[in-house]
Amino acid sequence: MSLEELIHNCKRGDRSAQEQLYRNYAKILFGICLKYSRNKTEAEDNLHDSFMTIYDKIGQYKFKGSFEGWIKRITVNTVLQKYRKEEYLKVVTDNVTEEPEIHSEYLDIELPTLLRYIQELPNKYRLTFNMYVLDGFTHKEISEQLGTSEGTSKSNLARARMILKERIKKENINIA
Amino acid sequence: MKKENIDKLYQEKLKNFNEVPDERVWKAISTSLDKKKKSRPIIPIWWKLGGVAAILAILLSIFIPFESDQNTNQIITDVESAPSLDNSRINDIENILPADNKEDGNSVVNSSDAKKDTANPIPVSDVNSPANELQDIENTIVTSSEKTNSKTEQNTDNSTTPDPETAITSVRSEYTPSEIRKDEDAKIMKEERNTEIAANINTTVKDPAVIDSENNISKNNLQKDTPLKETAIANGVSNLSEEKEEEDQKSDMGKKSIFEEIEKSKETEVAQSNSNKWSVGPSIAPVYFNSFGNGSPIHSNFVSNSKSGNVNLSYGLMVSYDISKKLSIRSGLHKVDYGYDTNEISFSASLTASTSDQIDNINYVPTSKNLVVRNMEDSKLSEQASSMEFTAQSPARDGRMIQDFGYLELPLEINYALLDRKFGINVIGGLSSLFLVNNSVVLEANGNTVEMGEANNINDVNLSTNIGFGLNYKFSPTLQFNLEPMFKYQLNTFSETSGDFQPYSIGVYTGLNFKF
Repeated sequence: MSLEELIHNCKRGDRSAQEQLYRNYAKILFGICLKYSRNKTEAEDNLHDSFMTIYDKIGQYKFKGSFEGWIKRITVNTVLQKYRKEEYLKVVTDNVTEEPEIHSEYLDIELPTLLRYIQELPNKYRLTFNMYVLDGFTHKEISEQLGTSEGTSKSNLARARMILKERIKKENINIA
Repeated sequence: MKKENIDKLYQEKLKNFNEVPDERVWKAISTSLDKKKKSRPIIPIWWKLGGVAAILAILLSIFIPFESDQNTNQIITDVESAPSLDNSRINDIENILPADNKEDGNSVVNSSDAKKDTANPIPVSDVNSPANELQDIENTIVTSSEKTNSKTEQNTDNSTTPDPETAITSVRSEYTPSEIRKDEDAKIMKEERNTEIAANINTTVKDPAVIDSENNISKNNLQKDTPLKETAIANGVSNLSEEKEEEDQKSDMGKKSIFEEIEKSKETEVAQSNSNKWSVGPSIAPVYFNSFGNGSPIHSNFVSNSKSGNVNLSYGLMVSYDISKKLSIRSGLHKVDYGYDTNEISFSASLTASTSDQIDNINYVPTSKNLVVRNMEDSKLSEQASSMEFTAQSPARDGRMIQDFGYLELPLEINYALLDRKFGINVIGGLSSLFLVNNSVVLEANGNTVEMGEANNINDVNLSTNIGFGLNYKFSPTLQFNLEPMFKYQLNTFSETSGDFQPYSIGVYTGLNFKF
């Protein structure tokens, strides 16, 4: 079944097509959810909600632009929607723009460990770091999505980097 | 030693990070899709019925607005009938829950235990408590009918309890206890929320409002959550000593999760049902009434008098239905008062006032039958003529004649959105039917007022054509603020007027609008 057929069938509410769509994309979207969520359980919840939204809104997909990009955006939005109201995402803007450096030996740190460091960041730092560093959002886009200013977004990113650096240094002292 | 920045480290490792989710996620999605499928034909019917009921309520309130005694009786009858309905629903639940329990076996036990575990935390020193809890909850489910009725009794029969250890041994732990607590709270809230949202379509349980939240056990939700609860139980057993230390932290997290889930449930309801086409809200407006032309609806004598419009208040309720994304149709019910002054009036009391001096278009109240009301110019001429006969000071007072009329307004308007974002701009056009409820003519001079009577040439039902534009600001998907300057041109206010008198009103309607 081509992607186009699959989407058409999903629009009709065909359950086997919906399952096929899930099988094709769950891996990618769960990766996003894990990065943006605080832990695996929340990531699973967010994946569930994202797919429900995708099935609900798939009729709005007009085959303009990549389908994968479209469902990724829905997933990111679903997660953001969940967290952005949870706490006040703004912080006092300070001009910390330096990108902290770490020893290249730290590149050997296992992926699950790096993921855990991200998940343990406070919401505002985690979302900003993910959006900017991993998903290529600009500070303008991030500030719009999170309802903050660009300055706040930059500050949040800098804080996220600092916290990550500290965690990496502290917990991997024997590597370096 | 080579240096790298954090961004590069994370980009290399996590940029295209994928992971296969647990199979339970698809099961949960599949379950949610089932529920949604079943709910679709039901929800729109309820919305439609609700809409019809709202329209009927509006119409009824127009035609019998003052028969409050009868209405009160009807309301009481409705209230009395409600409990019987609830009882029938409760009976349904009584029949259903034990059956579900049998089918679901361990999953029911485990899930409900997790729910209760959070609601009433297990004493941390009691190592056996998870197992005991499991048994208690099993009993609670079996005897749910009793709980539904009394909510106070707990059955102590343990005979049907499956072995909880089976579930506990199947645990795969990946989380720290604090995470589990936190997640569990979120999950449970979510489970309750799901149950409530989808309750109408549950093949067995018909109405979530009737069910106590402890009995709110959906087979489908249990399937989704069961493995998670198993994990929770296992950790609960193995990490009991750690739990004590994290008690405070857990409660904080629990609170956060509740707010989070309330927000989430609102969003999900909006996202999952496209049926929030109806909106309702109060509106209030200062309304300026005046007329084109110099005529007078009262008498030809007053055609040349200057008229000045009055500002009054309009308030009421608006109901709107979205036909499409841009187009909506709306109605409602408003109470509106209009009024204008006829200036340069002279009036006096005269014993000799005959019916010829009275104004035909006014039904005089008994106390004002002797009043002679004239245009000030005519009055002077008359005085000059009469001064031949009397030398006494003229008893006439100069002042103004205030005509007020109040309506119940039933608008029917089309609203077209030119801009539909957080801030929206709309064009509004339509008709209003105006039903006369208040009608008076008052004379005023030097701060004193005299009731003159009521106009008899005001039509009981009047039409106006409405045009305006609306500005709105959406506080949330369900709540918006409206500001609508409207121009309303009245078509048949008076059955006969002298000269050219074409009334209009200008109002700036402000209000809130709740989507549901």
